Amino acid sequence: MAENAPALDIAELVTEHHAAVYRYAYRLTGAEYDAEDLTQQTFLAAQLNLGQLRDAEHGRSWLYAILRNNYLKTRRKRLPFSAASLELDIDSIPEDLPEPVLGDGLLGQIDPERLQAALNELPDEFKLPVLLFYFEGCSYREIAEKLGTPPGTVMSRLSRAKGHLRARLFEGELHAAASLGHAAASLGHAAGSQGTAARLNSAPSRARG
Amino acid sequence: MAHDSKPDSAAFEALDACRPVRFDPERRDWQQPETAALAEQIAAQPRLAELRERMDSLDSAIAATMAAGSVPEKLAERLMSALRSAAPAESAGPANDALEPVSSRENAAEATIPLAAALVGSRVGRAVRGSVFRRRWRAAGAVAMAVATAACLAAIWAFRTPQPLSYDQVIAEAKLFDASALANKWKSLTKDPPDKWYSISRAIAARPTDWQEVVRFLGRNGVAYQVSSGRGAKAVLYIVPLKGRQSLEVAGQSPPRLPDMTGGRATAAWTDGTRLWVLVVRGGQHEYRSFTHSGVM
Repeated sequence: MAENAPALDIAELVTEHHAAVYRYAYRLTGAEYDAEDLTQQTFLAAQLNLGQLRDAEHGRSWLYAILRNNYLKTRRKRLPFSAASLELDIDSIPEDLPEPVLGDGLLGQIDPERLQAALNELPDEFKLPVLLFYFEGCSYREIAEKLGTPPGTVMSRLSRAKGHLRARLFEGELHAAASLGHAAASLGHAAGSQGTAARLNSAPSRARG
Repeated sequence: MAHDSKPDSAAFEALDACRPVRFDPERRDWQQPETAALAEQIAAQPRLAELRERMDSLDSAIAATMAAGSVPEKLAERLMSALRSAAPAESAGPANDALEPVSSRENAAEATIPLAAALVGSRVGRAVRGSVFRRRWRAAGAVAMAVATAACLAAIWAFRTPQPLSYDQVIAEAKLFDASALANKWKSLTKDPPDKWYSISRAIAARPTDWQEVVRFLGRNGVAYQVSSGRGAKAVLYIVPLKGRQSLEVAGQSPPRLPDMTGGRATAAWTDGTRLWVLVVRGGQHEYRSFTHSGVM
């Protein structure tokens, strides 16, 4: 059984992917120091297992998989929690989140710091699906496969986590829009605003999984 | 659903589950069983279609924000430096460290020649001082050589006896390997069978369909079997020798009742003392159980 030569040099992987890996690590950890540490661990593990990577095109997703693995290992070491406490964390996500109410004026105004703060508030069971969705562009079925979670559970967690992000990102705007919506409704016109207010005050998704 | 009715929670979950067009230009997410009903509703309801457009734009904006962000200066250089230090060739490191005492010995030699210092200025003094220096230098050199040799031996010993991989690490590395390294080189079990040493564990309740050689699986070469259960589930069973440069902390002599359940795979490892079996099942615990006779080797 001949040993296969590595498909890529580790230096090439670093050059090509270090920025993306660092950004992913930062989104996961929420701290620059931890992100750099995690990035370094990721590339060290990649160097040790470089022979496993046969296709250079899969380099980035391979590194992301190592990164997620390392992150979860670190978290397990730091936070030895029981299944019961895990459930408690999940339930701490409020279910009564506003639905997406997005005037065109809100788009393109994503505050990176608010976004990161909102991500930091998510337990890993919600943060990982959201990052797989937004950062890796995975479908909910791919997320389900990567995390070993049923698709229905992934859909529910994605919806609740995305709802949390929207709520945090547009806290001020939502309250303002809600007030406007109530005012418009009380005046008996502006059907669109009324719909907006109704959506704001509604209680959407319930978790299935 | 009437045109102005409020979308229900299932509809919102489906909306949230589908990726924005930047990730899914062909809208394949809308063709899944869980989302097919919503796709029909969207086609019939302008309000839902508008909502989907807005969510699509917001998701794209959030994805773009997440993918942006500053990267620390000279990160790549620091990473490369760390990688070079961690590379196996680093055995030069301790040897370099071992040179440190040489310079301190040099200083010590200079500092411990009061007799020579007292004789400064005289020929005899210079000769004596030179002789003392040479002896001290030889002694310092011998000590430095001994320290360097000891450091090299310690480094080689440390390099040759790495920390054992824990069960969790075995599972994690197996999943990484499984996700990226299996080539499409499956061989027939009847025409080109593997060495009998790599026999299927009796704890496996399913028949292998084909096999291939694997390299560097947990740092070892071995074989992988493709296995199908009677219920149509698929798995790969890796078999590698337990003996290797890095020992593995796999104590179980039969498949564990509860496998590791991440990455869409149920993964478990066990050993008979000479061989290591690692079973990676596509699916969850239900599928895993269809492959194992728990408690049987």
